[in-house]
Amino acid sequence: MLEKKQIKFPHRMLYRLLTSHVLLVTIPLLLTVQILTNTAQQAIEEIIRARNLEIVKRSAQQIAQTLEKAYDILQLSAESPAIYQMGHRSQGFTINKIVYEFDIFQILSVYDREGKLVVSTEFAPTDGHNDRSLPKEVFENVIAGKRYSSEVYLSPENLPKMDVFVPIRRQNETVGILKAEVDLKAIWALVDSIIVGKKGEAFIIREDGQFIAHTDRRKVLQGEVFQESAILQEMAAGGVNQRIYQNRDGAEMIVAYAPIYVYGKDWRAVIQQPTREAFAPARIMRLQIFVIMFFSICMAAMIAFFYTRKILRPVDRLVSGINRIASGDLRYRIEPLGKDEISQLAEHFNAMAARLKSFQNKLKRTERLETLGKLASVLSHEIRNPLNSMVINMQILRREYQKVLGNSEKLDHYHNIVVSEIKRVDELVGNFLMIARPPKLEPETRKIADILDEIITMQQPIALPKGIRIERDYEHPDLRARVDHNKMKQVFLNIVINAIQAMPGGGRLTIGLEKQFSYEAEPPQDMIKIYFRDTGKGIKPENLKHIFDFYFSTKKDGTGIGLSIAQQIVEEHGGFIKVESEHKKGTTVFIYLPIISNS
Amino acid sequence: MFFFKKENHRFKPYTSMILASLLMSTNLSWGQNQGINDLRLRGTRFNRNAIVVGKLVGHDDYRRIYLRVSNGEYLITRTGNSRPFRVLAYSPDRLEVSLERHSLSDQTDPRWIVFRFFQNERQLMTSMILEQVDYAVLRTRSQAREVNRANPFMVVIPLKTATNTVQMVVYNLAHPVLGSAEVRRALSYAINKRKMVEELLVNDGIVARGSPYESDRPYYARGLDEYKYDPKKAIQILQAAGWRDLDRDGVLEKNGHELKIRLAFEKGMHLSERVARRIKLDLFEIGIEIVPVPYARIELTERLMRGDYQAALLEQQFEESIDSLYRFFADGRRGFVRFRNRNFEMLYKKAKKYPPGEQRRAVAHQLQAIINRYCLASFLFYRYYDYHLFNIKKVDNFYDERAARVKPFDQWSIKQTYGRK
Repeated sequence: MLEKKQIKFPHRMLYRLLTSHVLLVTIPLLLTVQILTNTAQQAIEEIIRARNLEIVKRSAQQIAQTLEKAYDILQLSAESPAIYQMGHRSQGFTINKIVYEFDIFQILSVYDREGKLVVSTEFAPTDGHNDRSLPKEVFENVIAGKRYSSEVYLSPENLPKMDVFVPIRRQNETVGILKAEVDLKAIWALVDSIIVGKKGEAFIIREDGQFIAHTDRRKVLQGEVFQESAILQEMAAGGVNQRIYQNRDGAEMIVAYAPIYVYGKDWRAVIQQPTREAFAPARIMRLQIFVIMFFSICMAAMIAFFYTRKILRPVDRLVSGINRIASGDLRYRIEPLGKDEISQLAEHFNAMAARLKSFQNKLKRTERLETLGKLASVLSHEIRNPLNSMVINMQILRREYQKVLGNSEKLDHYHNIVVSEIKRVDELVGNFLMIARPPKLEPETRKIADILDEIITMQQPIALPKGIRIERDYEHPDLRARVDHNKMKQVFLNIVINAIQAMPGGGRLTIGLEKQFSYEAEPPQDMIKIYFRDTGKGIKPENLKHIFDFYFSTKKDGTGIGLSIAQQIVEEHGGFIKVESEHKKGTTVFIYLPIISNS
Repeated sequence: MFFFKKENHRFKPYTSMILASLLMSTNLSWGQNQGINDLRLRGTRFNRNAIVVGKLVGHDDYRRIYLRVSNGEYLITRTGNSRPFRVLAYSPDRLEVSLERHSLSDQTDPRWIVFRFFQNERQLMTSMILEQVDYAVLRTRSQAREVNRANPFMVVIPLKTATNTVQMVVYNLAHPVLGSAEVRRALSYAINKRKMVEELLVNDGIVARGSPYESDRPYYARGLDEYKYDPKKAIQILQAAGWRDLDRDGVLEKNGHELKIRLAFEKGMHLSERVARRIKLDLFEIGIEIVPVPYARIELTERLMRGDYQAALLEQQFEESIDSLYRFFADGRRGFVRFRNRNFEMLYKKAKKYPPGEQRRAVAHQLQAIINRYCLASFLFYRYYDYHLFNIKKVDNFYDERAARVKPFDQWSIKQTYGRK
């Protein structure tokens, strides 16, 4: 169960982080997109409405202007002496010229004050039975000085036409009538030029809805009528307007219309387009934004997933490392995880584990030393005193025997053996006491390099004959520490002697000196790092963990206390000692001492 | 096919035409099969396998319609058993032909060709917009564009007008006024041909240079009087000939005759109408009153053949041969200008003895010089293009791009999708 929970833990974190990342991206994005699309859609729709309105207004104006221009030409002609003063031939020439110059006039005819046709641009009829008289109502109106225009009609040639009649006036007197058959094809061309999308249509209708012009000309030619009565009613109210409505086929249309007041007629210019097409840009934009948003979220989720996983991977390793250490493996160290906070956490945790291990060792050692201390006090009284007594008594005994026996070589020989053994026991006890109750340090600030140099100078004559080269590798030769010079010298000497002994066939001993930050120090700080690297036979792994144990030695004549004493001295100086060794390749002993700054 | 062929110049009363008239008068159809009445294509536009061709009464004589199929071109109204089609209906406003080469199983083969005759170009254009006509030819770009804009399925292919197809005014030499070469020359000088090309064709043509032949053709005789627009010269010529505006009504007179000329032209043809009006305006400036009178092609042809006309505005294609010139201008059964000139006759007869080639061409140049000197016609301009319109919603495979011409009707195909919802 516990195992499962441990595995699940980072995954839960992954999902939580992932979800939070995605939500953090999605929610503001959704809100922004919603606001953006709504605003853009409204803006686009407004633009389209305004555009349609503008088009229809302009078209209405253009149509009115075109027809007004035609009317002006007609009016000017009617008031011109070329019409009212000249003979029929000159009149014919004038009106033919107008017809030739202005496409909008299909036929121009001049009638006299009785309403009889005088001259016309119409080519001579070949059938001989064209009715050329004016309708009575028209004649009466125009002869009274009013202008008159017919409804729009389709001529036999299928042209949209209307007849316009203007009085020919001379000195405020109507002397005739000028009739124009106005060709409204120009309106068709104008309507054709209005492009309202693919399904949109532009058209001109009469008051009753009859198409006068339409982008689909068939509707005009087939006499169709605009049948949206609601829109027609609205148009009847006049004014320019636009709106959305549903046509008879159920399609939603946006329609814009404007009145055309010309020749006393009330026409309408209309453009309409299915909203589906008109507002398609807004819809497409919305769709595009949502697609982009969807892909953005997907991308964000993917990035969040990989990024979160990357963040959590060191956490995962940290957690598994913590688990190892928690399970008691204080030697385990978490691998470097990078340079971020988690990495620092891992480093601190490693340091903590190291210190824990160190404390554990110290605790064991303190316990041992406490026991030894008690033993030492017993030994100093119970062994050393008798030994002293034994030495004194042996001297007395030797003197007494010499008195009796005279100088005897045998006596001297045995006496010396006993004394020597007693001294050896005393020395052993002395060493033991030094471990159990070490003498007080007398520290002073010294350059470590100087102490190392003394040792090298001392050991060089011993090492060289054995084919061993001692090399210095001082990165920081000026490093100083507060040390007891003799004790530290003893430590270095002990290690160098061990190294020389480990290289019976010759080799290289490198003595290094550098500065290094250590998390194992208490507190973590910059330390002087001194190392002794030999190329000797190395230490077997099973022995490596016992090398600082009292009386442990792999050498035949080793006492097994040298490294223990060295470790004790180093630790008394506030440092620590470490050994790394590879069997048959060599050993490196590291000594870390608190640094004293030069200043 | 849309202009007079060389045979057209003859204007002789063809046997086929007489036969056609007889058939019509006896209310008989042209088909050889009695069952053809059942095949009458009323409402042809709803018949998906019929190609409807739009024609204009002002330009096309329904008795002189040619049908071009893969193995040749046939005058529809001429009888014959070897023709690959049968005539089903025959009237001044409709000509229906059944193609025999079609495969009944193939739905894409055209089976009928229907020629519909319209009174004017506007009606033809409307029918094209309403897709009641599948193929037609228009003369001006603006008209073609208008149809195409109103119905994008009517595609326009501009094809070069046949070489030496000239727009001209021909004069009846038998007319008491137009019999005078001075009057004809004055008329030629007074017509502003360049303005016509610029304003009416929108520069979609070129001004004629005193000959029916285009100036870059080998048959064109160099050194001719081009009769460039010069109204002052025209007035001088007329005054020198004794024409005066005595009653100050703007029209010249001489010996009690007013200089008033009826100009016959093709009915319902917008370009012809505008050219006629331009001529009227130009000539009024020098004191000549022109009365344009539109006629259907049949009537115009008959009047020309009878000599019952004063001046006529025509579009005519001239072959590069002395026969072509002679038949059109010379007196005799075939020509209708009725030009009597010994030198002209002599040259022609002499040239007939020459083999085709350089010598004949030299004579053609001499004939042109005579025509030019006597000003038998006022040559106006050549149009660059005819505008062929096709209903691509219905027909396909109608255009031979390599040859740059319309394919014979039997090679066209009807689109499978046409007429099916």
